[in-house]
Amino acid sequence: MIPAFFLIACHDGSGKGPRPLTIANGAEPASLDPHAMTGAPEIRVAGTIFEGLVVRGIKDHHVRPGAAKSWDVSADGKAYTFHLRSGTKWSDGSPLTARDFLKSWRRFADPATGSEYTTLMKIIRNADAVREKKLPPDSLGIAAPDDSTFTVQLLFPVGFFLDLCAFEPFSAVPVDTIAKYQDRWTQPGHLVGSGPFRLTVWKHNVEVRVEKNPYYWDSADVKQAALTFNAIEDQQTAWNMFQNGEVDWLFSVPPSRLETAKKMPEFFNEPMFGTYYYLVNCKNPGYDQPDLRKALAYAIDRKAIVEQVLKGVVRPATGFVPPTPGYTGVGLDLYDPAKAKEFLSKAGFGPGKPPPNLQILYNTTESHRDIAQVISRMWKENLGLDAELVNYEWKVYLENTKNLDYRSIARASWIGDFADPISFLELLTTTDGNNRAGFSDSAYDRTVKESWTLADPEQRMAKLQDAEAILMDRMPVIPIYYYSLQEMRSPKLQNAIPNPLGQYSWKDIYLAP
Amino acid sequence: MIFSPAYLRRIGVRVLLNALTLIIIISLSYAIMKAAPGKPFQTERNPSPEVLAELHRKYDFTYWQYLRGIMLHGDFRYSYSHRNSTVMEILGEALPVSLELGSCALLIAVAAGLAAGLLSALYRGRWFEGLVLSFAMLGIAIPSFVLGSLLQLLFSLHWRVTPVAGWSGWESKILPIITLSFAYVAYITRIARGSFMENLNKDYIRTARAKGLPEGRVLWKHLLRNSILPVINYLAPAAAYILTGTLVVERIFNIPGMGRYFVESVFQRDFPLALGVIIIYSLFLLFLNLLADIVLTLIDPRIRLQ
Repeated sequence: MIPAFFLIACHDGSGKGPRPLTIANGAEPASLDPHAMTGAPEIRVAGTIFEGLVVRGIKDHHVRPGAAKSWDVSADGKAYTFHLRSGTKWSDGSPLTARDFLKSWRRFADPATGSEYTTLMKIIRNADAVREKKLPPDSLGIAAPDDSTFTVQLLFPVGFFLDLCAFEPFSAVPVDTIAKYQDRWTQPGHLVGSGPFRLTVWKHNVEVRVEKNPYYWDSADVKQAALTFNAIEDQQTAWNMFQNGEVDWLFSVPPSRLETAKKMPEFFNEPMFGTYYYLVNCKNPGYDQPDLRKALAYAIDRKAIVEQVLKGVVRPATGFVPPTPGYTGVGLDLYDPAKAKEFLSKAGFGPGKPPPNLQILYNTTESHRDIAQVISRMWKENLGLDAELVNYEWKVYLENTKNLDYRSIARASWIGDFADPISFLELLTTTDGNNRAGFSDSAYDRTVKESWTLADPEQRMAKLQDAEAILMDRMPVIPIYYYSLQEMRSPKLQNAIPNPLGQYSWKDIYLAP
Repeated sequence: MIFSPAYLRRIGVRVLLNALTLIIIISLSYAIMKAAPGKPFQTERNPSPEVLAELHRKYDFTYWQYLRGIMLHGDFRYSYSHRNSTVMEILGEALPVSLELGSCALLIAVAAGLAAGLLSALYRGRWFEGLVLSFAMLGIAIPSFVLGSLLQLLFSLHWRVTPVAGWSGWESKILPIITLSFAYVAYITRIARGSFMENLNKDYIRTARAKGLPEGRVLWKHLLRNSILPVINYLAPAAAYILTGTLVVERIFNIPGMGRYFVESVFQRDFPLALGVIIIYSLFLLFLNLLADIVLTLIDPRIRLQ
């Protein structure tokens, strides 16, 4: 009676070996090509199979030698010479030399590769011209005079360059393998890596498995034999799997479980270099006045939002740049209803004469809606203003904010690409591609620009702080809170020490027996 | 000969109409997707204009290119959001999983539904009927995300007899299959019960019993054959619902099936992937409807002769 094609046997699955460190990695990695990555899930996996000239530190936030055993910096801070280890190998046993880095970085800079992170290269000489196709990729300011020497010419004396070198897109990728297999090079069997682990399994939407790479230069110090990155999109499912001991490490906690999680010893909560904020459309009438923007900013009780909506696992913002080592920040108290009212009347508005089209746009997510509701209530209470709440689905939201096609206010967030204030402050410069507030201020642009030329770290940080002070005086963005890492970890997890961006040094991590 | 030439001609015309329908579906989907706001390569970190131009140069396609690729080479193109995979590879991995999940669930739904329907029709007015009917009501009323989470809570977290999620090994497949089949057991029970009751009162059953046929033979040979037609009629849409409705169950139990791509590809504006999913689902729906028609004809000679 039953058609034969329904009778597909429910067969048994694969055999089981000793369980590797199992990670709930969120969404399926979009790609394992370090130059095609966009999000955290793929960056995590890439960090295990590729290695850069340097690797992230675990004792402090300073990078450690990776493929390069040492490096020299010129007196003006603009020329770096990396000395590579001799005998470094790819995961197939072939030699890895400075020339591989040369080819990898050129591929990264080449617009034809299509990497979203290419703009991070702009501190390297000629990188912008290469990206804009005015010069060929081999004119990038890098060189490999011999197999063990790699040199980089920077435009600016910026110390964070070394942090960038630890970021996965700056790793060595197997350019010859890529040429051979084209789009299929990231498959197990084809993919050749340079990191502490090598790719053995990639079952789409199930798992990526990596195992210890015997050819890795420091493989004696890699304690973990294998890692499995499970693709689990549903936070609640991941949470249940953690409770059942099926995964050892979660990178997010479902909001409904935060109260429970906070009381558990497995909960891991650390500050992170990211800000949740509201954009103000500075091009629109009314909102082009800093006073109105400041009125809205100072009417938000961030502490209440953090405590009531976000269960106290994040910190209220005191400026646009999250706290980071070496940078003091502006440290403002951004909640002052009296000041807010003053700013509002200075801008020529009030409860009787509200600013036009006060509207909060957010991408459709429960937590964004909750925050928007609370903020609109605070504006009502403190300023007597009514705000309309509008939500769009993600891609439409992105399009609208990018094109400044929103009435007044839009929710936004930013995680720094590297732990330096410039990663945030540059966003609001007039010409930046991510300036979604339509903000343009010559004093601000000038101050940010000047910071690039300062070789002395203290002077540079002071200059950046001046820039942030200008920004908070103009308020094109209204900071709300600073992000944090909210993880669940097996008590056996060792050496999982995040850098300020929430990224890990995978070679050191292991699951204690 | 089972099928008359006229019937075969009718099937042939239907196949042609189905092909036409498919082309219309592809065209409409393509037009709707192109008209939707939001860009596939727009991400939170704005790609530079040069990079964006390269991505478009590499991945963009026109309507005719797409149609020609599909028709001539079966080329579903590369996915936008899973950049190193073709749509064919992605769906080639996901479809068997969804088919396995869906067919197991449907099989259970048919078997359990028929049994429950028959028993409740035979034992009318007894407590058993009440039990079956309340169960059927529950099955229709409880959404799968509630049932799935409840089963997970009980069997995985409380009693720890099955894994919470995954699709490897039969232990991991029990809960999702039950969750998915539950509502369909209920539907089929109700349909079967109604049909059985109607036929039980017919003259031919009384005649069969009167001439002294054993009860098993009456039920199997006479009652079932006549009563099952509405159930088979329901199977084609049910199979389609089950296959396209795996999304929730797949999400709760983290199963690598097609369901997630159905929604994800649209949110990501991954046009090739979305079109691929639509084509597979449409093919499946059209094929099932045709198949139900043929199976009905095989079982019921009256249809064949019309």
